[in-house]
Amino acid sequence: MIRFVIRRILWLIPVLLGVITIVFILTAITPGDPVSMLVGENASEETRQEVRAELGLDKPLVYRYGKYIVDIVTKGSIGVSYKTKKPVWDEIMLRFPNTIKLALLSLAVAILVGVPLGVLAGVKQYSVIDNACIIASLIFCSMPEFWLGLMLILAFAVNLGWVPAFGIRSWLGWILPVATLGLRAAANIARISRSSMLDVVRQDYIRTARAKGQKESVVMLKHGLRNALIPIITNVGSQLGSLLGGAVTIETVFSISGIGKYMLDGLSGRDYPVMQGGVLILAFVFSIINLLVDIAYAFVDPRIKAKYKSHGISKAERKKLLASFAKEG
Amino acid sequence: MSKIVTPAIERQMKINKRRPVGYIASPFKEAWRRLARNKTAVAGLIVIAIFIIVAIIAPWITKYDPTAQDYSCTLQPPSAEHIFGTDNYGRDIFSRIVYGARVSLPIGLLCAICSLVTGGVIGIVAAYFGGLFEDIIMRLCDIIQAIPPMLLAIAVLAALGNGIDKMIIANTIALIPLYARISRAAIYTVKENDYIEAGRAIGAGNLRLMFKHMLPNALGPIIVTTTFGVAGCILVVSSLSYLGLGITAPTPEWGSMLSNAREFLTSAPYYIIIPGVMIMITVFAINLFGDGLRDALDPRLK
Amino acid sequence: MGNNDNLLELKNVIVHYETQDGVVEAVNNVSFSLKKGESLGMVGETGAGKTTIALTIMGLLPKPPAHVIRGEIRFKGENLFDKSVKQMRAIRGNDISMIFQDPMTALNPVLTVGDQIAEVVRLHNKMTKAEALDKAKEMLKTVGIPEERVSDYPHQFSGGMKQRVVIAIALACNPELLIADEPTTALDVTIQAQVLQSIKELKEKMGTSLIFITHDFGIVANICEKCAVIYAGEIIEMGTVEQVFRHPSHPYTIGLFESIPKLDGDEERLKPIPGLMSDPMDLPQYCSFYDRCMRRCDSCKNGEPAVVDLGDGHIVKCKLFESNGNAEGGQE
Repeated sequence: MIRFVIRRILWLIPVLLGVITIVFILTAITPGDPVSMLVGENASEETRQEVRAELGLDKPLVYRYGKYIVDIVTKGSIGVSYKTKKPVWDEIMLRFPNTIKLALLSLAVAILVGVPLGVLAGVKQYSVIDNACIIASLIFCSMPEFWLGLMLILAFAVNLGWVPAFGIRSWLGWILPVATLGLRAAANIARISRSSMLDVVRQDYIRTARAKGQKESVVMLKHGLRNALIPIITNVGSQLGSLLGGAVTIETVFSISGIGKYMLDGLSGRDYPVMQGGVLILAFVFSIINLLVDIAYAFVDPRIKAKYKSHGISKAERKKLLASFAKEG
Repeated sequence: MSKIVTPAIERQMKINKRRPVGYIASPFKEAWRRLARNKTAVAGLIVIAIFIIVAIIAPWITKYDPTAQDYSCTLQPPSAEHIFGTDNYGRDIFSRIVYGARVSLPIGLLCAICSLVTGGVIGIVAAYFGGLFEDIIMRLCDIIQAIPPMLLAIAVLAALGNGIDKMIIANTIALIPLYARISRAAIYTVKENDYIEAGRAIGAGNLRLMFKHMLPNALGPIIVTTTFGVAGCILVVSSLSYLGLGITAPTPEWGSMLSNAREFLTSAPYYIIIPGVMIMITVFAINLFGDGLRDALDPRLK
Repeated sequence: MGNNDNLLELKNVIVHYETQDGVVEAVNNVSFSLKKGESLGMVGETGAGKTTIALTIMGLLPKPPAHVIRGEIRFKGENLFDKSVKQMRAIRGNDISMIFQDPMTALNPVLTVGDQIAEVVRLHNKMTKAEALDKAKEMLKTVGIPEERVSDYPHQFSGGMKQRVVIAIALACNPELLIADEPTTALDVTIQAQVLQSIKELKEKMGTSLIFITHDFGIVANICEKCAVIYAGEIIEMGTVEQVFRHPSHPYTIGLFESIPKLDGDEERLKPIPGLMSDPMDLPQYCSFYDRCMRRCDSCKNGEPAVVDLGDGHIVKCKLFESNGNAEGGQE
């Protein structure tokens, strides 16, 4: 198990290297000159050269790529913003709590609302709850999330005035953005939970549990839900990915100072290090989450745990184990 | 002890009478019949059809040019003259919505198809040949998937610049790994089946096996995935246009209309409600249809 | 009929599945009875409705689409269809239990086998968790699995061992009736013999009544006293194993015996029964075996055949015997 985790963490290194490469290639072909953005179109050629040299943009791309990676390894630096001249790491860390708070709170809402509703709908197929759950989740899945955010602002901030429309000065400000992201993710999770539950309740072991005389509610929770959890966990992992992506638009809609908004501002200013740093950090977070999701499987399903273990043992040990299996069979 | 006839049996006997003896429906006919009986799926299909027809006959059903500005009547609420009202340039919102369907719908469809075809081919080829080739492809997918898709689409779009074609490319790149994975998994499931072994045993070649035996059997999930893909792409495209990426004014596109309407949230709420509702209805209809399609192709869950 | 020493008695049970694609007439007018300690073999083709009969007795029919149209099932004199959900729960696993067809999928993959056996023990007995686990170990030993494996997961067991775990679950509460639904079909022949042997031993040791569902006459001869042949949801012939095996009467039963390869015979070819079982969604108003019957005659198309007693409770449902023997029941 520990070997598995270590291997996965080591695998993060080439993945993040790949991410850096992709982002570098993308910024290399991005039209628009960061220098013009900084000094304006009318600056003299001399100033331009000066600024260019100062930013290191006079060097070839390969050199910059190499330097970027060396800086990460030796200095732990992911670049300096062209515009503010501050380290991108510091700027991101300033905003990171907001983004992660938004994503995690939304995820919590999504799980607390989505899983029970989906499971209930799956267990009581064709019931009123089921139909209501299908329709509601489909409606929320069919809205662009920024628009849902705007509609919530219109209803609860503008018309009813219960919560502030923008900003997060008080906890009230978090309600709408978290509701926006959370409800959409909840809709997705509910749909997956329902179909995975529908799949599980048809399994033979559910019938076995009923044949024991077990209560229906226990059959569903003890035997059903735990088996249905694997697709649900997978979905929760990918939902966090789209929550991080969705944070970009939602932070813009609600004027929350988070990584997403920071990156978008960096993008329009051609502030490449900001863009690169943002993508890198979010990709890192996303990868860690996916690793956690994979580890979570092991706690739910002993078969997967066994698989992880078998990857972590020596060849001789594995052979011995296989031989013992063969003997039993 | 004559046969017990329940109401359900009576119904069944009526159906049996209409059918010729030895009636066996083909799987696709069966699927179609199940789909046609699913009311919500049919409703979805009808809504999609209406939107497509409206997009096609746009010039005949609109009174105003969608890009014609008229500063004498800006931000008019819905009225008999302008049934959806006008925007801040005095353009007729109904016309822009109708013409917008001509942009939003094909973009959604093209994004889904392009990513499906490229991703699908990559996934199928990887699964089929396996080995180092498959490893490399899948590791590349790992890397691309480490970036949340929305972020990747934003970054690609920023690099390529604005335009409908670039919007499609950006979405395709962001979605390729997902589709590659799905189709690879689908092929793996199909590959396990005995009929592929049987095909190989009678000497069918690689291409023949891939396209004649594997593809048709993986077709059901592929069609369903595409349907949901179209819905998802319409949403992503609208989000990107909202951020001012990809499609920009004056092209009448639903997402960019919303981007423009944001400033008038309080003064002209109808302007921001209407395009959003259109997106929602379209995507909702496609999702309904997709759900019905999935149930029809996979009756196991019914 | 209607004897009071009957442990189980089915009377005219009819079960339909009402699906979107049509009505499946799965169980049609099935009546039989079983005494304490007696064992009945149910033989029939795949899709003949054997499993549905078993699930009906267990009260585990998937509703919808299944509907019990009429009939009653008396267990110890009481109609199971009148029992509340709670009462049925108390009976299932305790008085009546069932071994399922496919051991690969019958066990919950995320729980240890010990937990799964202990679950049924604790449901029907007042026991602590530790006591129940001890009982689980004991049950594992009874079915021939070392008790150390109590905390292993199903995926760590082979098919035959999984089936023995399923048997351990079924027998953990000393049920009065055990229904075994093709418990050996999914297993290798050598494992089959072991599993059958353990069922037989346990049955004798505990005095359990048994309904054994299979499509293998050999197994029925080996462990059952009575035998019922099921075709298209009906019992078309039933009697003691001796009666049915010595004097198979229904053309279908005869056909089944002829399609079994015999080692001592000099026949060169097997005689399969021509055709397929009638579509259970579209059963005829007359004998459902008519289309495949080698001995059919015109009168066969005149309504359903009556149940005829050939003597000593050997019953057969066929027009051929309606004139001789005394026609019995069914028209109620």
